[in-house]
Amino acid sequence: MTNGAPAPPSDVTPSSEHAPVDAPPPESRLLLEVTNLRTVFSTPRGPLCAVDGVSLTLNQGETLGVVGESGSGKTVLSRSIMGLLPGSNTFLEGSVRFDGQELVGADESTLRSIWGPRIAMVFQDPMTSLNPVHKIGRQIAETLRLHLKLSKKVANQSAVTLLTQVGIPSPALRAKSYPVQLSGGMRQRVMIAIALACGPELLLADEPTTGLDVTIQAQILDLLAELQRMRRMAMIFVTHDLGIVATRTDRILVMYAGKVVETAPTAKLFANVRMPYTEALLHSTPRLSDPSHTRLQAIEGRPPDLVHPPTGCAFSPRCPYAADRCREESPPLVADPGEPDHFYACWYPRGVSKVQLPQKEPSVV
Amino acid sequence: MRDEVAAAYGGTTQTAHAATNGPGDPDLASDIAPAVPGPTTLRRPKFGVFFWICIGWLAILAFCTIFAGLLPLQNPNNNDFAAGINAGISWHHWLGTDQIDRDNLSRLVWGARTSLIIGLLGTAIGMGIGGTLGMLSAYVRGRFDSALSFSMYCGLAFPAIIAVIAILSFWGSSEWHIILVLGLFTVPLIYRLVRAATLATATKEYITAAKSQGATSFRVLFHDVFPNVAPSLIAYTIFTLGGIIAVEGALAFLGLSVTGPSWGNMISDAGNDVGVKLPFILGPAIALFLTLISLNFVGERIRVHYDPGEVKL
Amino acid sequence: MARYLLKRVAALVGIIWIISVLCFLLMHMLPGDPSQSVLGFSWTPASGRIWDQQHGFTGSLIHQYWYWLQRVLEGNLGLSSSGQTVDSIIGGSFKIDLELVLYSQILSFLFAIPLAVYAARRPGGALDSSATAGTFAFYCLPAFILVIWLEQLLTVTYHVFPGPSTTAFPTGGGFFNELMTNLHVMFLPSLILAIGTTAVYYRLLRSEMAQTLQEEFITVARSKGLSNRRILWRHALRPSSITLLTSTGNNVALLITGLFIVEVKFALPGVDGDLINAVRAKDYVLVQGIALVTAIVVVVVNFAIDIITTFVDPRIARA
Repeated sequence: MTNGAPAPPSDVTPSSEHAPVDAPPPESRLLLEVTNLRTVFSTPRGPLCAVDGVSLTLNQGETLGVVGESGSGKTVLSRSIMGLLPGSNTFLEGSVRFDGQELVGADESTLRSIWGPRIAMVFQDPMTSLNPVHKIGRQIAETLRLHLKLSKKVANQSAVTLLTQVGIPSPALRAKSYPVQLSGGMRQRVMIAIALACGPELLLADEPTTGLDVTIQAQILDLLAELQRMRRMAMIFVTHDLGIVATRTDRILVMYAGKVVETAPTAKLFANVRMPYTEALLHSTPRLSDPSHTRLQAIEGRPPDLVHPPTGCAFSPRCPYAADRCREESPPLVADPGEPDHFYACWYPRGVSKVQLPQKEPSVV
Repeated sequence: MRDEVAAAYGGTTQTAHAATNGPGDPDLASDIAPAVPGPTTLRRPKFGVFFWICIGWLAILAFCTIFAGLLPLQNPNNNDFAAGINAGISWHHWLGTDQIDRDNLSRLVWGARTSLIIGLLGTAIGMGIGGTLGMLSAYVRGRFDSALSFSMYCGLAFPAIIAVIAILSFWGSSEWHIILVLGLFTVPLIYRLVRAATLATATKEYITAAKSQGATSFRVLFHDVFPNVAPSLIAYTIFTLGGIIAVEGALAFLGLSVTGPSWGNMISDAGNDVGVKLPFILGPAIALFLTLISLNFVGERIRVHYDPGEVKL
Repeated sequence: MARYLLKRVAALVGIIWIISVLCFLLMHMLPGDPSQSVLGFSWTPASGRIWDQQHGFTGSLIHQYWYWLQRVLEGNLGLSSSGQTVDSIIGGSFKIDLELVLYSQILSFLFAIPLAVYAARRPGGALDSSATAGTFAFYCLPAFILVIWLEQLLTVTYHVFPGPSTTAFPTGGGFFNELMTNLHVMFLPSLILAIGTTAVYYRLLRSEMAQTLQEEFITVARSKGLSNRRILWRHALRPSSITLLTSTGNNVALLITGLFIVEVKFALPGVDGDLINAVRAKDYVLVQGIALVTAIVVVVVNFAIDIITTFVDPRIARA
């Protein structure tokens, strides 16, 4: 395994479409099982619950999209799953079983043996994610030497191979460069190379394209999809952009104020939106098919203060359909009666109940 | 000179981490924890108990300086043969006498006065010239700034101690000479610090806004720039004061300071007399130590309190 | 990159030239007459004038400056009143200063770096608070006090280290012996010199480290499964040490003051000690020579540090 990747199955042909895979391939197994994960930070203002009782499952080779605004807890979720939070002010409850192994409460050395070879993360900002004083090749080779015990020479060669795989031109030259000499898109590719170096089974991508130009975004996303397919990796894709996850995920999880408010297989989510928040998200995404000069519909208000969350449904202050019950009781996550793999947390889900908009106009920015 | 180091010590990196010895970094999790909307108080490091203790000590010093002549002390230069040399604590001499029968306590007090006066006046010169030039330079920019900065850089590069020592030994080391020389040699450093601080403020948008509203340059300088730079100025003044006092001590040790009572002299005399008992050095040494600690600590706290993130050298 | 270097070198030359002017002016501003101090009792107005002419102290100021500059560029720094040439005096003494600076900075780094690295791991923790307070206290304790105290303690009372009464470098006994004696003699003065700079280095490095540890790439390094030790020393230390490097240049001034004190007190035959003796003897030419050489060394060292920084931090030159 000199390039650190499991040998790709010889019958996999890279498809040119980004067709989502509806059902997991037969030989995949349950890779990740998160049950009731809670992450609480102790801040000077009080305990802040960033992730509040999130559960999800992921099979090998599946892609899960986690969507939400900033402040929804999606980034904290990905880091909590991996166990990468700074220790001192953080409390983790619940269970994260990776391939049967419990990660919550595991000690540092266990986690460290998993980080890299089995779980890896691609970080958001390529400008700050790379050590500015180390050469690129070294940053990739480092994990190879540590986890796969490769010799320096072999590790360096493998680093160059990895750079080729992520589509960096003149990889041998680039391996000897410093991060400052690369553009944003290239740095992100390097970031991906680093993450994939040891052939992880689960890749957590935390807003990997947010800081990049739109054209580069598409390239990076395609690259990720390609590599994932080749390596049969499971991927959790965290983003605030519904448009990105629409075509590249098997399942979507929508988060708000630390909780899961809706989750369904991708196609079904878009077909039958249930939770008003998801609906609002959908409407706030600009689409090419819209006529020009269509006004963007922003969601009114701001995300709630997680130190002092509101009673009832966390979205109620901003929900255009909110009723009294919404403000008093917090709705539980329930399965849609007609589709057992579509869950939502709403008292008056769209398309199921008959609640209409109250008289006030939704404000349009 | 010590003040260079004091400034490097205090002014080179800007984080509040360095100065606040309080509980661990506030929001280590903040980069990944969600932004918390809602009222957030601007957290300023508090001054703390030790700060006020230091201020207290400095107040005592100020008192000694101003009222030294009025206090019922022995003449610091009188030799009281009756008491004997290196005498211990007695009713007559609260802290004993030194090697040539002078009263230690009064020398201590008068020494405070000497050190402080030299320090304050020297700092006044340094701040007055360096500070004004620095602010002007940063504000006016252009050729004036470039030329002045370059000259100051040369002045800074020249090892001041050597010049100070040379000048003082050839010219004589009266109080005024020392004040002048030490003061002048702090000018390049202060210039650089003040210029950096002023630049940080003057390039901000609100200055441009003020100017665009038709305020004259001078008005903007006094009204908008100066108040923002003032806290840094105060902090630098304090550091410089500490630096000059320390250097004066070093000069005294080398035999180049004033002949009157000064802490440096007392320490140097005591040190040269090999048979002297340690306690006799302790008086001025502790006094000097406490003074420097107080000054540096107070200066640092003030600097951090007002703009922890602003000034980089 | 080459252009950048060229610019810096040009600036360096300019500064050195200005410094030479400053040195020259300095000496000529001082009261007193160089010929008097050299000739001493044999001075008469006539012999004084002759001496002046011989040594280039006549004519207009500019004339004198050119004369002096020419000779300096030839390497001739003049004749000291003791009879030796200035360059031989400086040359002989310079070694001592170099050693002192080297030893003291090594000690300084040895103390400051580990302290800072481990203190930055837990800002506000026990190590951090005590180290910060401790170094602060030592910094505020002027060198000369420390010198007196330590000397009393360690040389007079307990005879651990040799005091100023012994000769600095007894030769003979083989290389190793010489080295040991050298270190033995130099340890105490180096230690005292080191204390001031340790405080500055610790403080600087600690705050830089604390900041660096918050950067994203450190989290990334963690996510690669690297051990904490490795992250601290290999990943966090290097970016943080760049400021440290630049500050070394600034500390030269502090070091020089310290050198004076230490050399005088321990009677080490270094350049600064020479300077003190020179000013006491009113030896103008020597003083001027020492001032010039020291100033140039300081400037060149700063320049070298700048260049090194450019190489160490890849962001600077390429940006």
